[in-house]
Amino acid sequence: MIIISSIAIPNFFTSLNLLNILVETSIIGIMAIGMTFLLLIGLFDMSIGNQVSLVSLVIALTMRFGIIPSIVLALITGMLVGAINGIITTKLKINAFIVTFAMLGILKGANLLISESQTKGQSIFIDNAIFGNIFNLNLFGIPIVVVVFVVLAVIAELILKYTKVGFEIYVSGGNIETARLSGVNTFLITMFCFLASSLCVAIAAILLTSRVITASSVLGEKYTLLVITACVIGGIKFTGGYGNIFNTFFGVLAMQLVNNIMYMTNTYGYIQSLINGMILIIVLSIDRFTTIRRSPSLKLKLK
Amino acid sequence: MSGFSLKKRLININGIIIALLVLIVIVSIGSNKFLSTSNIMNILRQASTLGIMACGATFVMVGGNIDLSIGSILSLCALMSCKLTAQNSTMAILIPLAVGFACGAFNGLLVGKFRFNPFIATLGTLAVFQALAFFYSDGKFLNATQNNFYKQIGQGFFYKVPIPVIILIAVFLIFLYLLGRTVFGRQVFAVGGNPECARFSGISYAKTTILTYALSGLCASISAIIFVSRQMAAQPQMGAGYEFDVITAIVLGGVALSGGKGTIWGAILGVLFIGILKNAFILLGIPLYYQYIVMGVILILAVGIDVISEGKTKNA
Repeated sequence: MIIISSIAIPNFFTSLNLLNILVETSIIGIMAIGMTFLLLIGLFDMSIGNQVSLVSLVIALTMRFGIIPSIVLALITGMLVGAINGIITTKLKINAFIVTFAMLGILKGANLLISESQTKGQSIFIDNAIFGNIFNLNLFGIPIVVVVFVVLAVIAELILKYTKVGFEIYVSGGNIETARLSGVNTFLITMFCFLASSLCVAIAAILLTSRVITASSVLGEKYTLLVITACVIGGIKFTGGYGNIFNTFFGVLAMQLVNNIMYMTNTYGYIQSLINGMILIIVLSIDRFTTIRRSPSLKLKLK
Repeated sequence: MSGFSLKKRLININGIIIALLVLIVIVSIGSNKFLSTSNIMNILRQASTLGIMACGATFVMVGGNIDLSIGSILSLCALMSCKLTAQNSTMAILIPLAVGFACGAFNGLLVGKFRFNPFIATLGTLAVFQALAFFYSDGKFLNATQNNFYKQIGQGFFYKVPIPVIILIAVFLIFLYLLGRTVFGRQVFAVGGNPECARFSGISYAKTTILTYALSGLCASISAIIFVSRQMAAQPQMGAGYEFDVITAIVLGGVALSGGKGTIWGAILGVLFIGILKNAFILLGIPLYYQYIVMGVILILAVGIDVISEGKTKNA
């Protein structure tokens, strides 16, 4: 695929283009790391797209206090949303899907509210040169986004493999009930996973905001679908229990390559959504068929 | 489990009845325009599309699943219907209906046959159908060709009652019968309430699911036609976000997310609640963003109350 596209599209192999792909992949990847934690316990968060927008708006609003404070506030905001999602899911025992679905609506309203009150709904330009340059930082020529992704991925793997929380998450295997019966503190691990997810989303959002130097109420909208697709490509099953973050990265990479090809050939934006949605379905299908073949008993258990 | 007796049904929905009455009282106090005939007719006309979609969505949810793509199906069918008014009314009605049914059936295939997680699958089809809608209209607004018969669907009256309301009542009665009094309805309850048991009873999960999703898609297309007829225009994102209102409405009305519980009556009452609430927003001049927040909070409260009451009956 790479060969075909490099022949077909004149600008494909310019380092700028490949860099773009890598960067976008990393941003999605960072969010996917967080989502992985949730998926491993059988939940997911549908509101992450709007969390991204919220974080960008928070940064824009608090920039006058300085860069560090605004970043810290943004991270706290993100984690707050995650905490709320987690608490409602565990304490009120409401299905996580519905909670995050509702949160999606609530955040949408909140984002619009903030956006309307500041600039009558327009995007907010963040007038801070240093912040804008965060995105441009390099570590031996590797963009900071990629570095952050790799670092977070390594941390995540370490947590999952070598800590008690990580072990409990794997053991949950997508079924919170059995985990609870096994003595796992489901409240703690659910909260941990929601917080981890929102933290990753917030980090990614900060980097994204730095890249575009604007904040808007719709900045993150497309990311919910992309992140879920990424995780599915990476082989994280909803029956839980197995997940590999680096698989996810390569999956997202492939996806972004496809997206990039479309962009370069000037295909309309909405076809991107079509392809993204279809990729999700196709990957799910492949995943489902290979799983069934491996263990027929899983067919009954599915859901 | 299935709430067929009148008493059980009343218990299931008395919460929403109370909430509805309270809401009506509050809004009547808040605005003197609320109880006028024209306003009530307006509410009913707006709520009719929501109500029709809620009927379909109820089937899916009672079956233990969810359909997030109904908004996109509405957009797609609306655009098709709009473009086809240039041919003749019949095609502008029949073809979108078929497309809606087909989209629903596709969802049903993914969830019922391939056993994907319904949230993930319909999230994917949401994107796919929405993109198809964009593709179909090239991203543009579409204007419908003037057509008296077609116009009547959304804008006409039948003895002072708006035709959309008539369609809603018809759909309501049909679905009420389907869910409450047919074998199929019972199967949907069984599959939603206890899939394992249903399987042992010989009920095909795949067939039931495909049918419920197809009905949901069909309802979306009916609403789409009414929408287009009302405005005589369509745009690619017409239905975006509608699934949120529909799901909130039916959950408010006592349809359980986990499946196996709920009534069409409850769904309609939930729709009325949302319809009045939205009308209240407009009458009281509440800005759009607050609406979103309130709706989200209501959804959580509705499900929360549902869960708590379920917990109570379990312990009883």
